[in-house]
Amino acid sequence: MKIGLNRQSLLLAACAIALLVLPAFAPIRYVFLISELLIAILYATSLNLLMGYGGMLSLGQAAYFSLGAYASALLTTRLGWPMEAAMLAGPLVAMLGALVFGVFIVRTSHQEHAYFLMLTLAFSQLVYAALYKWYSVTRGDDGITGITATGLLGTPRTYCYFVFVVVAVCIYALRRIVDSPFGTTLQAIRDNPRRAEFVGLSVRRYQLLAFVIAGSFAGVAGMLYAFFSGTISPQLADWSASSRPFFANTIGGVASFWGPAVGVLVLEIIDTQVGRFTEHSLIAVGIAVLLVGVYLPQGVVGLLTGQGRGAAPAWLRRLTKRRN
Amino acid sequence: MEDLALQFLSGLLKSMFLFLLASGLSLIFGVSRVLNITHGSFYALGAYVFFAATRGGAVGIRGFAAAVVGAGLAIGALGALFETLILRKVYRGGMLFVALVTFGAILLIEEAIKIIWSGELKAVPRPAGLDGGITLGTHTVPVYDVVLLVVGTAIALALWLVIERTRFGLLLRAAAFDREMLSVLGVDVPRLYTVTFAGGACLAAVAGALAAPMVSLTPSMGSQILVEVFAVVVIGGLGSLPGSLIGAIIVGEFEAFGILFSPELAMPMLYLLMAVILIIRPTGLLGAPDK
Repeated sequence: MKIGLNRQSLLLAACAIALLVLPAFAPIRYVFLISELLIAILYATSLNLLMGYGGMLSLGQAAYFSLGAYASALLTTRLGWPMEAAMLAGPLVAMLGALVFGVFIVRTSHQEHAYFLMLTLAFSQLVYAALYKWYSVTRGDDGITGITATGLLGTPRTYCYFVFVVVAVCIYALRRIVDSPFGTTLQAIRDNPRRAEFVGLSVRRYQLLAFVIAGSFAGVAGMLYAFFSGTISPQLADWSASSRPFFANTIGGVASFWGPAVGVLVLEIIDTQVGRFTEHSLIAVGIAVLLVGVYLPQGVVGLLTGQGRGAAPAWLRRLTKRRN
Repeated sequence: MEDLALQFLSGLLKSMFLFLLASGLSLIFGVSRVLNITHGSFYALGAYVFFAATRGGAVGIRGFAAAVVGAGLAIGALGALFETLILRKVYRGGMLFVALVTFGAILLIEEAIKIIWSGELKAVPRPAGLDGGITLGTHTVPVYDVVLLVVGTAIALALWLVIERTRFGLLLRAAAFDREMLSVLGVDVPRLYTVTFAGGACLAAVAGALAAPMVSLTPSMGSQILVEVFAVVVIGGLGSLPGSLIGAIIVGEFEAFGILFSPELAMPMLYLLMAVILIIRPTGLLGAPDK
């Protein structure tokens, strides 16, 4: 059974109304929580364009998130750019980074996705090393502090509304992208790269475009995060930072557009609930990941919509089928 | 001139550790098409088990050998357990889920290390009897470094003999070629997967134990070296043992001499080299081309 369009629209409308009302009245810590979750949802959904729709497994999405965050932060704090210009420039730098790395990443052999995984991880560690070691520009481990949103966005409540609007626009854009002819082509390539090549599609070019789009939206999330948190450090680009959206996608379910969003909420619940008992809540995340891997290939969304293991859609079986 | 020779030696040493890790990663991928992202964590666990076995103090040569072999066997057994209990259940799910559980296992292992040994830096002294130096002209080379090079070469040779000259090695090569046919011929392929995975984990742990006296132990040491190992197999070609050797020497020496000339640029240059090799040969120097 699939969630009907109407029920899904109702659910979305309810969420939107709640998000419009809550930031104005909710206690301030919930306002922070809402901003943080919205940013994480955009981050994870940007990766779903690659994983779910493109069939490309990236372990390095943090590279583009941190490029967006660092670029906009450095431009305002070090070069004194106006906030608005820096906010626009951050995602552009992430886009550029995704383009430069993406050219090499999509060029590689695609056997079993292994090279793709290794290169995305390696390039994100390169960004991490650059942020960490290039002290004169990035201030290394000290990170960048004092990134403040000014003017109308100066309070946590108004900034939360700003995050909501930007994330909503981006998610809508991503939805339009996956439903567009480009998105359909991407899914065709995911389902059968060889056939796509035989009908004359330039597989690498489509994959590169998807990679750049995903990187750009991750950059938007990073930019939002920089002004939200005020302080950023190279940890944003570390592999463990990349693991968050990767886990959100698989825990929520890559076969669904909203899976990553659900995954973000599940991870948040695990963090806060287990975090009450122990500082080692990552153990719980690890166990959840193993359980989902073994028992819930469709993720939590698959569980909610009643699709068991046997009901995996054909493309997911094919994406994940072992080829000899 | 002597400086360069010493730098070359330290590069070889690094290459040896990288080869021990990359060969296991490559073998596992060749046989079961699994990219084992947990591989670096087995290396870290090897170092920590060595630390626990020697209680962080200096031991004699025999104690040292026992601790290295013990760490290898313990982590090999852990690898076998992980393969049978978890990995085997997700093979059918393909690379997405293999990547997921091996990535998740890194979290578990790193947190477990933090709980058992705390997150602080740990150091292990060189074993007694191997802590001296050999004087070469005006420089001194630690005896331990020379011993490591000998041990590493011996392991590499043994690995080559096993793969080229034994029945087990024949099965490994056959599995890399055509798993289905092998299974039709009555070979227990799942057991082959388990043994290969355990063997790779064992090699990684031995590398970690041997490296313990030379590096400081941190919970994240595994994921740090993992990225370098990826560079090795991307350059050399995933699934090829000679490729792992060549890749390891390239990366090890590149790092050693890169640090000599420009510490800041050593790592970016390595990635540049990797990118250039990928443009010329998308499957690495000795990797099998796409089917």
